Amino acid sequence: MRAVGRLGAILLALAWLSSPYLSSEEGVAKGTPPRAPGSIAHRTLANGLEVFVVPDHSVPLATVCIVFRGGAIAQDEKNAGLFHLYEHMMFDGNEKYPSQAAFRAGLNRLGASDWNGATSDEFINYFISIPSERLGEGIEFWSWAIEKPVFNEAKLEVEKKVVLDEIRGVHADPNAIMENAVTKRVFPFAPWRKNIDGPESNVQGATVAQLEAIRDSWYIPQNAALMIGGDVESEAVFALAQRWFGEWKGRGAPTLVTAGQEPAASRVEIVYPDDSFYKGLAQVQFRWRAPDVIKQASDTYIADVLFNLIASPIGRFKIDLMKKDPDLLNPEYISFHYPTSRDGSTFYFSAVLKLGDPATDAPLGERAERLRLALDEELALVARDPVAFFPAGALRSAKNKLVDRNAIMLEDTGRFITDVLSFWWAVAGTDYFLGYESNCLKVKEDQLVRFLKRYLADRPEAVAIRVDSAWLAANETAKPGQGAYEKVGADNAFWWQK
Amino acid sequence: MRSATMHGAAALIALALLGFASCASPGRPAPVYLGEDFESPEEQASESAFTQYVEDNLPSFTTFKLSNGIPVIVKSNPSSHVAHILLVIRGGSLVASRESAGTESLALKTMARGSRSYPHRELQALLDETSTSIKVSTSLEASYYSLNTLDKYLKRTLPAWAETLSAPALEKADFTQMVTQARLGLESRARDPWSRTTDLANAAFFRGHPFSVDPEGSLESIENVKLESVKAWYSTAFSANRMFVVAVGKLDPWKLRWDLEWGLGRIPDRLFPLPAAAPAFVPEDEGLQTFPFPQAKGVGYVLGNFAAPGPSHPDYLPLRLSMMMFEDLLNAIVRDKYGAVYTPGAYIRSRAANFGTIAMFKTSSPGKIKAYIDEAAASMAAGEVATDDPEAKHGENRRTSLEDALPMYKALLEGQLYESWRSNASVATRIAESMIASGNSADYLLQAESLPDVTAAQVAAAFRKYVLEGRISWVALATPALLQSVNAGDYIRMGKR
Repeated sequence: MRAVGRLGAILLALAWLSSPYLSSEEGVAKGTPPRAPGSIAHRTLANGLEVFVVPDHSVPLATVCIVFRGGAIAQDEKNAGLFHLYEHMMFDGNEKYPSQAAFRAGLNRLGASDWNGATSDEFINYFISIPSERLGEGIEFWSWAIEKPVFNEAKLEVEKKVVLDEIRGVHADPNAIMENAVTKRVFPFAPWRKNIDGPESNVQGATVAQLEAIRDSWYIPQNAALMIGGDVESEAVFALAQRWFGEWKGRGAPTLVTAGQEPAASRVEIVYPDDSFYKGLAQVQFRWRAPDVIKQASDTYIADVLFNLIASPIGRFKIDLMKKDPDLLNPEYISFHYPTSRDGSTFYFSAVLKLGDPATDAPLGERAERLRLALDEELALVARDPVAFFPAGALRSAKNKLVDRNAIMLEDTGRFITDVLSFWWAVAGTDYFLGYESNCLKVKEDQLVRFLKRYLADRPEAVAIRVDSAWLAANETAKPGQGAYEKVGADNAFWWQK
Repeated sequence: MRSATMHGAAALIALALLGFASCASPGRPAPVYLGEDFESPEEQASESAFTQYVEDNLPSFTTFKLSNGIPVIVKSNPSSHVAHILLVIRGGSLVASRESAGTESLALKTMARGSRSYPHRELQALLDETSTSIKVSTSLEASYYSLNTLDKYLKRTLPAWAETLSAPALEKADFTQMVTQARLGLESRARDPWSRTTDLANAAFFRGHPFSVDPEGSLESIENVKLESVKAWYSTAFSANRMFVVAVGKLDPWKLRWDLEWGLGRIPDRLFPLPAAAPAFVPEDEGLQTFPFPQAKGVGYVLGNFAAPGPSHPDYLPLRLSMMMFEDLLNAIVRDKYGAVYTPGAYIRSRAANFGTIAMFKTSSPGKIKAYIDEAAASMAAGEVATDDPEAKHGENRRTSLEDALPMYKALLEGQLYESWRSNASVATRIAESMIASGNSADYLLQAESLPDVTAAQVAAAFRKYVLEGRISWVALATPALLQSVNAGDYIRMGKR
């Protein structure tokens, strides 16, 4: 909401976050050193609010973060974009701090050295970093903002302009155009659940009543978690959470989705002629439907281990692929990953192809198909015998890496709770989060085989190509008849553009 | 009392500097531990929490020199399992030529790909297995070459990192790969409207200054860089006399010195001529330059750079505080009152040759926004900052006096400093910046030494001198239609209502 690119930064973070922090024991692990495994404390208040504490005494700061499940996943066609607008309005005042100026003054008086809010596909969070000696005031501060926000038309009209400036920038961003063009077509039945900014018309027409409806349904304790990271003691945090949030009432946890996202009946093939794209290169993306936490949680652990196995740029998977398709730029521009989602997950493969003379080069669609066949062959080899495909010890190493990466992310507890813990709590839940390490460590080779056959044996749901528009035009001129790919751009990429 | 305490801390830093000079003997290292506290218990009890934090952290520094003269600063942080080792190579823009800019960056990136004992595949396998990263970056005054690893892997990853420095493979394939990445990175920056805005603003502001050469190079200059020139750079410019090392983590200085001596102690001192410190900015241009950017589609970006004092200048802290106040006013007026921008910003950096920035990120009103900025500046000029009244009602534009708000902003600045010390990588960067700016490794801790003494008059005077009366070099980037609404005359002066 505040920092440059915050919204985008969260989306990018989700692309590489592959695993949550692993805590082998639930609850407070007293006596453990700061920021060591097991040091995350968790408790649930009587009203359903979950409280997490991640102690870290390296600097006398505490980050207070409150997270709600929601965002794009909770939208319908008419309120798409309003979770994001609501996030902005949270900073515009409440019963104790009645205006934006008062809210900001309150933050300053608290000594808030950092603060922000973010809306993503599956959660919304708000945080402040304050001197740890003022932790109680910081928790109280959020209790007013969360429980007693005050909306009015005048404030809303000003904030709409700010949000419109923000989302216009997003809608002009070629990366956003490409991503929206894909998700709109892969998930045609509820594409608004994959896009948080929404159409400008929804924002322009938003009413206070709509915001109040979101507040009453989603901003309730059963749908929230309070996370504190920094120079704090767990029991003191729990007591403060009880004091300031213990009386907060809700009406029962909302339902995030009534039914899982169904992919399009027909396969998607699109090309994005992008004036600003790298000259002499084309990006090719493949998407397959992937396991969702709400339906196939156990498969998500297998997915994380598998994609860790094949991620290395010097591993056999990418090197083989390079040999099979010499047009690939290099293995470091091959990305194959699985961003965990509650609903609407896709496996994401992306690679960069070198282009030659458009008049003599094969049509791009043919080249994408050649790459797909090479990838298909490689996946089949893994599925046939993963023990033979990967070097000895690779599976154990892949699982260890998941643990190590979390230890690294845990170094900055402020960022850990705002970017990592927020995500995993909202997308997967506390039990998933706390059991993640042991579940990943249980993954065996035969599960990889079954997984590959189940999810990646068929053709991808979508093939998307991004290329310099001038090169594409020349290639098309030279190779008439290659019109199977739908052309996408800023005027038809987004779901509200019919 | 507070001042006396900080002088005590400063004395410790002087000892740290002496450590560099006195601890260069070969053989078994003898780290110099620093940090005796000269204050009485009574004096300590009267210290602020911030001062206490500084005092508590100063003993965690150890300094020594490798046999080839490379200074090493070790900052202990026993609460983290991450170790961060940073080699700093002084120079940056100051030693780059426009024609071959990017050579050093490409050389270091190629070095990071492999060495004699750790060819690319082996090195990547080790880094991948241990979730370790080797990163290269260049800045206006130095290049950075870092190792970020879990401490349990340090005995395996540190020798590999060190050997990429002392015996890099410099393979053709790796070099070609790095040139490709550099080219794509530069193209990407040129396409992104915000990156483009900052690059154009820097180009305008840096004109005639050594910083005008981007050490990452340009699309033209990296075409001039060949593997041979990279190897030539390594054999002439990769010199111990340009370097120092910063290490932060749960580290044993004795062991670390031994390991670094084995690895980095072999880097020769080629007596590379170090450039003079960058001169302070004397901007030649002010006013506005506009740049059409059709892809921006209905959103504009406005950015102004101005000369600012360095961290050791008496105006530094007052100006830094004034920019925090100004940013809040920009939020209150440009964003909250007029809804004219998504994110406004106002800040200065921490270089010896310093500059500040006023930024408007995503605005659909570039034609009006300077008037709103001026309204905020006029409020500052009148000694009024954004209200600190928690009862202020919506629509009220109450202000509070700068003097009354000053203690709050001082506390906020302390918090910002803490915030920048939350990871070992960021602490290492702060130490490196301190060394470059002042030669004092702990300046990042002592930045606030005179913070309690800063007065409202100093804050107001600094804002007047550098912002209201300073020369600001503005850039606006937007679609051609949006730019038509922008009047260059609005940007000549600041603060007119």
